[in-house]
Amino acid sequence: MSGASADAAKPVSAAMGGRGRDTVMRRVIGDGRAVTFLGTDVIPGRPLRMWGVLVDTADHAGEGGGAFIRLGILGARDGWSVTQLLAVALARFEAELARTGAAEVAEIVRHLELAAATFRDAHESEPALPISFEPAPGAPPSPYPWTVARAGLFAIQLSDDAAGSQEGVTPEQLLAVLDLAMCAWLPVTPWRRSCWVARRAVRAALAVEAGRTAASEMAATPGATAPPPGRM
Amino acid sequence: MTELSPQLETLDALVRRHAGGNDLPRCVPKVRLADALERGDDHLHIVSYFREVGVHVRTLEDLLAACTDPGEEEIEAFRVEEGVAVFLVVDGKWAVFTR
Repeated sequence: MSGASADAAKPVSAAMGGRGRDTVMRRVIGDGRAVTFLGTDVIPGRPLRMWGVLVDTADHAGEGGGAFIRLGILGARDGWSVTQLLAVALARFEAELARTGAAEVAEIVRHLELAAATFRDAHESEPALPISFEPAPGAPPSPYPWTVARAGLFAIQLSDDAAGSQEGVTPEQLLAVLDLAMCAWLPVTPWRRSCWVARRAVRAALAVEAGRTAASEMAATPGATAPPPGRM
Repeated sequence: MTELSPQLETLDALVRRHAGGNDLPRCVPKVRLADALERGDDHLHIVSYFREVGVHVRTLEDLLAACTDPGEEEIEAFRVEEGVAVFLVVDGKWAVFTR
C-alpha cells in the first residue's frame, strides 16, 4: 500500500486489478485521491457487506500511501460504527472551529451535529467502545490537540492539514467515508428515513468542506484559477 | 402503523384523531404533488427522499404505497378527502399532498 502513487493513476484500483469484485464503492475526492469500500458477495436486499475502507493518503515524505478503516458492519466491536465515525468527524471539526473560528467550519459542525442526533446505528443496542483522542506518537507539533482517534483495537490518524499533504486521512475523506458508509443501510432499514436525513447532513458538510479545501488549495497555488463546480 | 379508512376522513378529522387529545399541529401545509415532483423536493423532503432511495413516486397512489410499505417505519400516510396526508414520526410534522 505504502509507496503507491497518489495521483489520478488510482493506485488502489490498480492494485486490485481494476474495479474488482472486492471494490463495492469508490469516491474520488477533490485532489484525485480515492476512498474505496471493500467487501465481497453483495446480496440484493441486504446491507452491503463492506468490511473496510481504503483511503489514499500521503506518507511522511508526501508520497502516496494508504490508511484502512475497518467498519463494524457485523457488530459494534467489529470495527468503526457510523456513530463513532460521526463522533470523530465532529470532534475534528470542533477542534478546527476552535482553531480558526471560520463560518464554514461552524456550518459543517451544525450539519454534523444534526447527523449525529439523527442517525441510528443498526447495532445501537450493543455498547460501543469509547473513543479516545490523542496526539500521534513521535509526530511533529500539530495545530490540533489530537490527530489519532482510537476505539479498542482500531485507530484513525487524521491529517494535520486539510489538503492532506501530511500523513493521515483528511477530514474531507472522513466525510466521504461517512457518506458512503450510510449507503449500506439505506435500502434495508425500516428507519432509513433517519439514515437518509443524517446522510443528507453529511453530504452538506462534505460539500462545504470540499469548497473550503479547494479554496485553501487555490490560495496556496500562485496563479491558480477557480476549480470547476461540483468537482466531486 | 398506517391506517387506511374505507370512508375518507377530512384532514382536520384525521389530525385530531391522530393527536388523541394531545397538541394539534400548528399548520399542515398543502403541497400539490405535481409541483413537488417538478421542483424535485418539498418542505418535508418526502419527494427527494423517495427518489434518492430508489422508490418511484409519480402519483398520490405511488406516494401512499411508498409510505405504507412495511419497511418504512418512520413515515405514516393516510388517504384523506384532500389527498394523501403524510406524517413524519421522528419530526412530528405533517403535510398533505394534493392532486
